[in-house]
Amino acid sequence: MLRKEKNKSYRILVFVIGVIASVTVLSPIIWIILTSFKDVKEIYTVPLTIWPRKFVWTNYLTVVEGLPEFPTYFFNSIKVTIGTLLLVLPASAAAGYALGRREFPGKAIINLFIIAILAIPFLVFLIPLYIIEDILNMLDTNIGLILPYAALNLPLGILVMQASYREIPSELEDSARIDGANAFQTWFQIMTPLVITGLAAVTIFTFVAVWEEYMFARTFMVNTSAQTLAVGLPSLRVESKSWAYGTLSAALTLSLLPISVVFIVLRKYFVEGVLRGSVKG
Amino acid sequence: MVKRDPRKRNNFIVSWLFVLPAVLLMGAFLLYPLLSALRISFSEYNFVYSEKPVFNGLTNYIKLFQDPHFLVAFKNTIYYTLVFFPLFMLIALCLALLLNSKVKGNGIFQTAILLPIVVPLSLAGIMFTWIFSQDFGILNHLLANVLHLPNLQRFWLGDTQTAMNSLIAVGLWKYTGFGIILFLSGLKAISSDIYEAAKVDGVNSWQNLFYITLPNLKGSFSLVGIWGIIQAIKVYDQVVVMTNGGPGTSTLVLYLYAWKNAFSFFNMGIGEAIAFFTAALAIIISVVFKFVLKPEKG
Amino acid sequence: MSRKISVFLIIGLLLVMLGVNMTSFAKTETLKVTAEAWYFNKYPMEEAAQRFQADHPGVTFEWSKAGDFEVAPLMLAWSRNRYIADVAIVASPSEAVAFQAKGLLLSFDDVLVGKYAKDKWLQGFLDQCTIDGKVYAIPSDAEVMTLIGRKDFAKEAGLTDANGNIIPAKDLNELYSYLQKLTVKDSTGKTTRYGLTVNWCSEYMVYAYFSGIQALRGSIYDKNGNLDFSSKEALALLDFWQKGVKEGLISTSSLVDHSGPRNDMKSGLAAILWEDHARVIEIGKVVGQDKMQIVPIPGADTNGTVSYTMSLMIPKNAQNPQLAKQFVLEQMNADWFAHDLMDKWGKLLGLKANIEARRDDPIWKTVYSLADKSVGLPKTVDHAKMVDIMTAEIHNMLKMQQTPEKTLANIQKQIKPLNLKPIK
Repeated sequence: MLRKEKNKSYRILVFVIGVIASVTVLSPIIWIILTSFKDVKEIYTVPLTIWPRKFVWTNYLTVVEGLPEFPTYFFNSIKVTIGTLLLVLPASAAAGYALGRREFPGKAIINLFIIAILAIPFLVFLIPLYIIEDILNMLDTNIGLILPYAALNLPLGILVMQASYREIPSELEDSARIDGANAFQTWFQIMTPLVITGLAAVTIFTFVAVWEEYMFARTFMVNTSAQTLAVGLPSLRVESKSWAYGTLSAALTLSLLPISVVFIVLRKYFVEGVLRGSVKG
Repeated sequence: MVKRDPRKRNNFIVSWLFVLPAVLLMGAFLLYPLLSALRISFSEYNFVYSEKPVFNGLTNYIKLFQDPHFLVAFKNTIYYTLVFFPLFMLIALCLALLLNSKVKGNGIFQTAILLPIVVPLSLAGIMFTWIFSQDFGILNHLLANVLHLPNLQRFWLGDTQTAMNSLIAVGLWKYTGFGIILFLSGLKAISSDIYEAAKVDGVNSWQNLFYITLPNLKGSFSLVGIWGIIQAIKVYDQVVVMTNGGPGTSTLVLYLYAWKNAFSFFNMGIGEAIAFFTAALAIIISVVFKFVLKPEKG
Repeated sequence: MSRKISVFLIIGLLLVMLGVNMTSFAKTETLKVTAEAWYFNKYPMEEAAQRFQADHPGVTFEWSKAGDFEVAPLMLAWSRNRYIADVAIVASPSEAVAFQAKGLLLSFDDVLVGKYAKDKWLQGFLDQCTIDGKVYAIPSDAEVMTLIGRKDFAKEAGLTDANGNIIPAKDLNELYSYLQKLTVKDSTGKTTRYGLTVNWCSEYMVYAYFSGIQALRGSIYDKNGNLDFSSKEALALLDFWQKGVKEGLISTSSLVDHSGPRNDMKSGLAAILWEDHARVIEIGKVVGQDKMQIVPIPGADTNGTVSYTMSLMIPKNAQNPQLAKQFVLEQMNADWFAHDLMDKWGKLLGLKANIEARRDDPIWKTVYSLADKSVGLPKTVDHAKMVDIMTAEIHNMLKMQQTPEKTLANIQKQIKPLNLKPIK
């Protein structure tokens, strides 16, 4: 009886917190979406209106007309993101496994290097990487962003995978060895399904980091043909460093769509995890 | 002895094969730039007006501590970290537990709470500037006209008392989701066997939480903690877009000051020095944090 | 046999020579222009390209739209001799100084002759683009600092003449009394409409401050030839600002948001704006152009004001430099281009003739007389650092943390070690 009551109080509290948290977090986004449908004069009236008096599409039209190169930007962002993920996921899974479960000389140095990269402000890499890419003729190419992005996102990816691999009970590895599997088979066939949550987390972190990265994209990509969305969106500004709120909210709302799709698809993996059946025995 | 060597060598080769792709990628693109930047931090070098870097030892670093703007940036960054970090950990943990439970509406909560992750802060920050605007922003409007609490209105971004806290709030809005995802990873890894056994013993939800869940999350604590500390010390995006260090220098932070020195004043020597100081600060605080978490592993 | 081969060789050679000549005859020259994307949307670049092509057949144009102007990408590219564009439109001439310090720009002196001779340009604008006596940038998108007032609010406060035009204040004291009349407060004492809103955000701070100094004193330099941070007028200006903020007459929205002042005006939260003149068109579009009037800063009608411009530069590694220079002069400074800019956006170009043509319009008449007497800020090596210091100190003053005297003293102390020698 007592347990049931305590369980119920727990669930009610959890629900209430859930509602409060969701509303608080969503409200700026809702404000952005509502603003995108207001016309200029209404946006600048004081006192402010919350719900648009009249829904207009002008802001969206401004975005669409103002960004004729949108498909180019969009596909560059997609290509760069997928390219980076194709490098980061296997490399961090492999390194994460070795660093998380194996002892070998040089491990400490690698860990140190990883923390150093994570801690340093990335601006220090801007000029040296530019020079390297200029020499290798990689500027204004998609690969010119994919490779440095992969390198910059590996440290976090490795840390996350390291933690994921460490959670696997050692009995699993032992029984695999008894069954005659070598390290690679153990890693690839047996452990991979168990670290899906970690991989999903690395995917979303890397995706977001690459999708919104601005500094390197702006400096390395000068020609429109190679620019990403992060660099292309500021083209909608009205003037030097000045956005019209209507246009900005429309642009933000539109750019939320593709990445929300990715997010909703992946959500299942890192929030709900994976069946635990394979862990037993 | 002879028996051990081939296995040791085999282990060495296999292990390095696993780390090689990552190490090669990072080494090729990050090692040389890192060392080059380090060297410049110990040199006098203006990108536009200097011929080439001239080594000057610790001069740049010493100059930093004589620069009042640097000291303000240092203080502000520490303040940001001290407020952001505990709130980040606490909220991320609570919300992760929430999302992990089988409560009604969980799917909606998940999407809502995690959505800010995908919103670019460099653009959302501009909207937040508007939201926090004194005469013209929705926050003050809601406080005064909807909730009828006009006394709570503030010049959020312009008042030295509230500016930094507003930036922290925006940082929490954006980054807590990452912490939640990492904690969820850790929560999912706790075997359901333990919970099953506990249920048989008649343990309720609260006891579950304190005696089973939290102790098993130590690994996640470490990871989320380090990530949170580094995000805090390297704070930049919302500051540059929302206040640009102002009013005056009341919200100036280390990364922003490093950027200004390197790319506005072209003083690469000082800019790199600030950057490395920031990195060192982040590493030291992370090490302290890890030590506090696992004191037995001295 | 060998004769046949020789014949073939000669025919082959002739064909090749003909081929080469034909391709060079049909070869198109491309002019590439790089600027922030909004520039291409705002300014009639497409039409300028078409008109130029009519006069210069065989020229094609390529627009390179940058999202955000940052010095670093262009600096890096040009110092490594990477071709980016033939014409670059960048934010300010002080950045031209940085580029020219590395010898990366071409001078325009050779084409500034005849109707484009140096004396045919607004002196204040051209001076800003001159380095070591040579012109390395062409002014564009130029602005003068001034007050912009709302005639309707002024009329309510009794500050207009028989025609409904605002009577300009003669000095700071009179302006202050204007603000007292224009400010509206509610029953709790909270200001619901500010008399004045000034743009004090980073780079604008410099222009706001020195435009005041110039208007009050007729010069932005002190008696030693350094920038003035010591005169009694400087003190009076800062006093005026601080007192105005303290008494709730001046808006402080610009302390963090550089769009604050224009938003204040667009939403009717302020009666007068102290910023660049082009805002008059932008704000007029939201509240109605008939309500807007340009009013000189007290003293500016005799002493002038401060102006600033963007700059068009041509890098040394341009592929078609002469053609680029012709395009810049013939089309981007043509009267039709200038008038399009003025009518739609209120922006100015440098050739006097273009603005003189519009002198009948009251707004342009005032702007022209202000622009004619305007000066630009000196280009210096440590300009950015000086701006940073001024902004920090004056912000502190506006937050009531220090007096105007202390503010000036702090600024003087901190800029002492900087290299602020004007580069002419």
